Amino acid sequence: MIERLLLTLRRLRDDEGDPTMLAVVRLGFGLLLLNEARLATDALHSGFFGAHFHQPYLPESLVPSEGLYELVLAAQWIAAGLVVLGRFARPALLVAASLLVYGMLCNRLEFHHYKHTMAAFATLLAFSPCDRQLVLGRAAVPGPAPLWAQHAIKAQVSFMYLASGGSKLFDPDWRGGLMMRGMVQSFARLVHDRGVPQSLLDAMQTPLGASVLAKGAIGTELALAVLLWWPHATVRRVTIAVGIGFHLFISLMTPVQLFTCEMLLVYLLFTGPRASARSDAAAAAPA
Amino acid sequence: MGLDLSKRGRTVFCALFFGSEVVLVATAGLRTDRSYGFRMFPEASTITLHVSRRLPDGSVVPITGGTWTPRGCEGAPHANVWGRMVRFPAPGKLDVPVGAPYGVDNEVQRARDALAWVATHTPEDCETRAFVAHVEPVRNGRPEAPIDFEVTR
Repeated sequence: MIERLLLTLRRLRDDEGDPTMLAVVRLGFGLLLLNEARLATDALHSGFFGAHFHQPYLPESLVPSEGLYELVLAAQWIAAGLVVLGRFARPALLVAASLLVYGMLCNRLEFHHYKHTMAAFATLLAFSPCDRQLVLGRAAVPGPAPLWAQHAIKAQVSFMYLASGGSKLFDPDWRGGLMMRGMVQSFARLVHDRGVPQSLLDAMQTPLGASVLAKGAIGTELALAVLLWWPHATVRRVTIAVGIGFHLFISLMTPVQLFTCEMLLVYLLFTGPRASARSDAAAAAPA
Repeated sequence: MGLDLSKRGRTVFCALFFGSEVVLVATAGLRTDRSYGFRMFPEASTITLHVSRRLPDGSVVPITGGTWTPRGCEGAPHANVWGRMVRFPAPGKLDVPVGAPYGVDNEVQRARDALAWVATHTPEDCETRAFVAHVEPVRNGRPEAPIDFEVTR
């Protein structure tokens, strides 16, 4: 069992293949990072965070002044632009991720799961050959490339589902539907304006409806963590469809949008053939 | 820039990256906002924060409408507006329920830290000796026992 696990990990580490999807994902994350720079700039226009109540994790001396923060924002814009263009995209991804984390460490009020997730994915993407294609002014570099970082991004997805689903499973308010009921209530007007029938919203707010919805969410997250890696292609295809539907449903029922964009982007990386399938095909091919 | 790692480098990097994430997830419960633990939608809770001022004679005067006008150090009154100093997602409004997106414990901590920040960022207020907070939490729809604390200046 352990030998098999080690063999699989080694195969994922040494796997090579077509990096096209990584370039697409890089482009998508570049656009999200540009949007992040825009949001931060808009926030600065309505007042520098350091001039109001803020909660730094770092010592106050490491929190930038307004002038220095403007430079940080400029670096954020430049890094995001480079990621989109593909030029110096990989170091730019690392810089962008570091600036996101730095911003959250300067002010805990700025912490959001989608930012943390964006920083994690951007870091992993920086170690992938995501700059071989879709680079402005440069022809694509042909041939297979190492895909270990792509597999690490996929592992990150499963890790997130496990952590999220696991924490909900051990929380009686979550498991029992109390939290879900409150959440549906708090977003009811927004969701109704998006076209969800009131009768359905009412049903979701009943104890039974909220309990079923909560257990469904926990079960879906835990199942996605495992089934996205399932050996059978049909199971994986169905799982990807369920996962996409799950995130679109979250987007419909809550104000969460950017996290959904991130997840839909990384789901693209699950659509290629499995590492083992590629290895099998390579072994079967004539020399 | 050395981003193309050797096979050994890949193993070390993944061990460090995912090892750090395991530590962050395992210790998320130690942070009131459960940050970096991937605990999405932890609660559907609110808190209502009421703030009063303790004056030099010991009397306690509630802050109403989020505004208070203490006597300044030179005798002239100075208007302070809570919402200009404290903004959402911290409890930016007083006396009304505000969302606690990362849970009651976190929003109470934010309220406590916000009061401490206001206490140290209103130097022109020579009247207020302390801020007295009364927090009414509602966790996932269930009202909980109020929490009281005081921040001296």
